[in-house]
Amino acid sequence: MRRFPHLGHGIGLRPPHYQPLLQALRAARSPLERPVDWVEIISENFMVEGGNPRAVLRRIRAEVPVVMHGVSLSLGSVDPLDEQYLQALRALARDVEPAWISDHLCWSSFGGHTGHDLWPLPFTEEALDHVAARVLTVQERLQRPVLIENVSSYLQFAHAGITEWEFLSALVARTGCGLLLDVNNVFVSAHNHGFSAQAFLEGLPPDSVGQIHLAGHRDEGTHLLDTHDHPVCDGVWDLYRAAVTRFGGVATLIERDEDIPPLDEVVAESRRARALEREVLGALEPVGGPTVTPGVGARAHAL
Amino acid sequence: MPSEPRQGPSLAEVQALLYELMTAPAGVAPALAARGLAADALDGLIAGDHRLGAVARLDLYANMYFFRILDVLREEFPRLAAALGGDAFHDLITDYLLAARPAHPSLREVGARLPGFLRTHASGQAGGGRPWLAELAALERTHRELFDASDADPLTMAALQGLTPEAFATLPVRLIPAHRLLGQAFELSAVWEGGGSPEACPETLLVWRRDATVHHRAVTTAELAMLRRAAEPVTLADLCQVFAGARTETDDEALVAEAFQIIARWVDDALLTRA
Repeated sequence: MRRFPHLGHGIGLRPPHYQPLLQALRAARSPLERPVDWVEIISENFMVEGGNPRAVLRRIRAEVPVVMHGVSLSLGSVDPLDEQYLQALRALARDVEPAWISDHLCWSSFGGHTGHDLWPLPFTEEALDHVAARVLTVQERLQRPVLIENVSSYLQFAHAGITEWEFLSALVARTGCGLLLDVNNVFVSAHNHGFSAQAFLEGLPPDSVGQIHLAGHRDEGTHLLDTHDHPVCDGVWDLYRAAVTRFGGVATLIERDEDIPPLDEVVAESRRARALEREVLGALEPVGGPTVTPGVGARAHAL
Repeated sequence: MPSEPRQGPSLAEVQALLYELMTAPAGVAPALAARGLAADALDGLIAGDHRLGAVARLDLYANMYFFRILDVLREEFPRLAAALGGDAFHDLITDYLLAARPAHPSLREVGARLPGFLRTHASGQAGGGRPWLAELAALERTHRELFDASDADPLTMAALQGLTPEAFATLPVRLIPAHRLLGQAFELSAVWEGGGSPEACPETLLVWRRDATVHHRAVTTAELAMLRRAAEPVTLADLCQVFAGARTETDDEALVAEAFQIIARWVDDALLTRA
């Protein structure tokens, strides 16, 4: 049995889509008519006391499952874990009851200061020991396994002794965490560093991936930049096909953070992902519909 | 792709060096030079290739650090940015990030110290600068903070109309949490609307959120007295007395009528809640 249920196909919840998404969800007469099966929120954007964001989130949560995706755990930082942030994350999770909580394999703070970015780690045994210990602590505080996402990167460290996929696989083995496989990030990093994206996928444990991200990027000539301001490109769709072939049906989400188009366009990409998944998996397993009803997701994942 | 373990710097050493270089105001190469290091000093740490060398790769992160925050602050302080102009706003944020390095996990908080910083910065000082810029920044920041401040159920006119006169007078009320009073030395309405230069004219602004929108307006001395009192639980009758105490007229009936007008406006503005 999967540790992280296949929620179906979703999108990242962004302010321009608050009202049209809510209207479309409420207008749906059955789950199959919903534009999305679930949504993902950026946790930090909802760590506020009130106002429109929290009100909209409550209404959407009443319609579909929600997962919480953070950008500030800074799992790789040598700074102590931010206890206040962890408390805020727990409080939000109590309110939202997310299907799961995720963050990134990166560091984003140093010396008590934060960079608001996802900085790459050297893939060394020292870093693995450090990140694994912190993931275990976070999981204990949150009382659930978390999903860890691979980031897009623009540099690698000369003294790294292991590959990113070896690092992630070891992290899963040591901590019991799951992986949020960002297929676009694999594509971008593979281009920027010259490794095989297919080798990345094949290097991950087949049952470790609980969620997939799809997004767009920009070609800057000397490198690919992870911008989330374009539709998913053909190369990333091809890699998604390979990911579905390897990992099976996995909850999949379209991310769009810049030049955000109307809701219909993002939903169309989500439906393309659903169709591709159905095509790859054929009749091997049921896919496409939400398998977790609103309100039960979080409880399904207690450690 | 890395294949063999190599002796290298510790994780703490890597992060200390990279944090310093990525957050340096002029980019990675000048920051290396300031440390007395050659331009190729990173080649043993960061694997470059024919497309991008080590410094260029780290510069991508340095640029993203600065421009992501600059974009967020430009969105949060659009009028300040317009009043300063693009280059001056860019320079202000460069100085701000050196003086007040972000420490909160949410980008929402990255501008929290900008109004205070402006009071000490050349562009916002009385000397060669424009001292009203700090007040403009404080107003924009307050709008941002109240946008997602705590919720409260506002008192409605229908609920008040259902009360007996005695119940009305003794009803305990208070202002909603999503409000703030700002004392200003300059009248900012022209610059808020997109033009002009503010005149020195002390005033107090009431800033509050109604539904999903934050508003502000100037208040009179008598209304200010009522607002300050209503920050804590108070009856509507007491509010009328506060209003009368702030005025010199002696026509009680007229004063009560005026006070009720203000209270009615507060109810229309969704400013009051049951205490």
